[in-house]
Amino acid sequence: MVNDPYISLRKVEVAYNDYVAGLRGVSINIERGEFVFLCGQTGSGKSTIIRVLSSQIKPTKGEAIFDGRPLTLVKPEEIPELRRKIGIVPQDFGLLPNKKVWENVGYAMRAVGRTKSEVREQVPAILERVNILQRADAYPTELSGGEQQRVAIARALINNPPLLLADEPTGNLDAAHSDEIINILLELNAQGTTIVVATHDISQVERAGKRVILMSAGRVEEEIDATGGHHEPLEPRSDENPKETPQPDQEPEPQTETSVSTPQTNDPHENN
Amino acid sequence: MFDRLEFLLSEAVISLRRNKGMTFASIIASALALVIVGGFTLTYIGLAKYLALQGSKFEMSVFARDDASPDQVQALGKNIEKLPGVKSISLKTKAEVWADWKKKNPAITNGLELDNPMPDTFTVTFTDLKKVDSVVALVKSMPEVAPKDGVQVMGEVQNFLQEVMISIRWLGLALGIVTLATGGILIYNTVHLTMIARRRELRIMELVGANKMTVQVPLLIEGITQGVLGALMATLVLWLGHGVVARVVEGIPVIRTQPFPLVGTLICLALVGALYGFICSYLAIRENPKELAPR
Repeated sequence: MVNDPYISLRKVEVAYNDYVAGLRGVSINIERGEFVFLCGQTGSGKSTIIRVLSSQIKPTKGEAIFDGRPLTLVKPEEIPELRRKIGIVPQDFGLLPNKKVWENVGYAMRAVGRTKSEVREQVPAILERVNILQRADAYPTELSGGEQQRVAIARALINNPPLLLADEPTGNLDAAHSDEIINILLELNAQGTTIVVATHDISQVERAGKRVILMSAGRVEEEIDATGGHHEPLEPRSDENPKETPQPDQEPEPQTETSVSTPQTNDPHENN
Repeated sequence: MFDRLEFLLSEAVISLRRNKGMTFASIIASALALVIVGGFTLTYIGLAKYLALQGSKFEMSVFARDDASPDQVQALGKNIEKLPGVKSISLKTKAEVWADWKKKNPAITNGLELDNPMPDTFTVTFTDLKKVDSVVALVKSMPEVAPKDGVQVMGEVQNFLQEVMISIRWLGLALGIVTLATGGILIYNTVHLTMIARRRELRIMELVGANKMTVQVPLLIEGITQGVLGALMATLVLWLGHGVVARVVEGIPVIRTQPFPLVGTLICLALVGALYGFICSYLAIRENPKELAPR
């Protein structure tokens, strides 16, 4: 059990409907403390992986495991607790325009049950971690894109999560601000946080020198490790290697009991 | 604990202020619904009390057959007394009835020697006027009772009032359902609009792992507040309306209005309004889960 990967996707498929597939049998492993880029064009499935890992949707088939826990078995009422272990940085920042920087972070803290005094104590330290403390009293509209993204990252850190998922964190930024954000993520990773970043910015990825999972059309195309070594994906493409004829070094995996026909939003408030 | 409550309440206040127009419309619609429901209920209760008071004054006469023996008449009395809803019976014999009649109508009987045409007569009073019809039917079927016009029911007014009460009940129910549905739809829509307007906040709550209570309670408080404010307004309208009616009828000696049960009405309507607002907002949350799901 000790050697089990921190995050493991096993033949994960996500079908949004009969014609649109988000993922087509993705198998990847991510170790604790790793920094991984999910790289690919729009529609390649990288954001779908982020959504699966944050329990916003369930896989249609296959198994997603986070910290030894199968995400397909997570009950709706357990999702809030699970999300407190995961910091999520959405692509659009998701900041409240009528609240100042510190209030944006404080609001999220209050929402998860922190008291006012805890907010007063902890917010400066969180803002300091992402170098935005000096703009604590500014409104989001007064900030640059990079600064807004830093606030979004700060908000994702309120629960001090061991895993940070960032969906296109540099998507709306110029090169200089993108570097700034990636550097912050690298610093957080150096402090022990596992980071998964979905991005289409290849140049940014190359500069970071971290593990890259290249995706295309819902499949893993190739993996590049931190040293630049290229590897074949864990799960061969089904059209190249039909399931009926598994590779000699690869055992066919059983279907999960939780397989469902379409992805289900994993919102805890749907099934109340 | 207080800190948490303060956060939830502040969120509810933000929600209420977000759609002021719709919130106002919801409160007015709820008030209207509760005025109708409360008004009809109070009128119904008032009439029921009045009829209960009239019960002791309400009488029914039962005439025995001409050929009934004294024993049969006694048995008839016992059978009537046993019926549910009957309070008391009193018997006047043929002779007593005839004597009374001659006394009241001396001009007709004076100087004439006539056979006594009067039957043995029971006077029946009731504990429950709602049971009058069933008692009449049962008594009419008794063999000792005169087959033609053996039962005479007094009190057309009471019958009329009972008809009025039935009408009030149905009218109140019908109007109440329509207005409650209208008010409910408005509360539902207001809460739904709040969910849309506060989509960003709700999404952040979900992303950072806020629990269901934190997300939903402010929305439920919003619905409950609308229901309770509607109830307060409805109580005020009913209280003022009662005052106006009391003034109008104070010159009529027969009718005496009861004092308005202000505290009772306020508590009852506030509870109904709170429950009503809770149900409507709960349905809005339940029926629109996508508004709460993080994207």
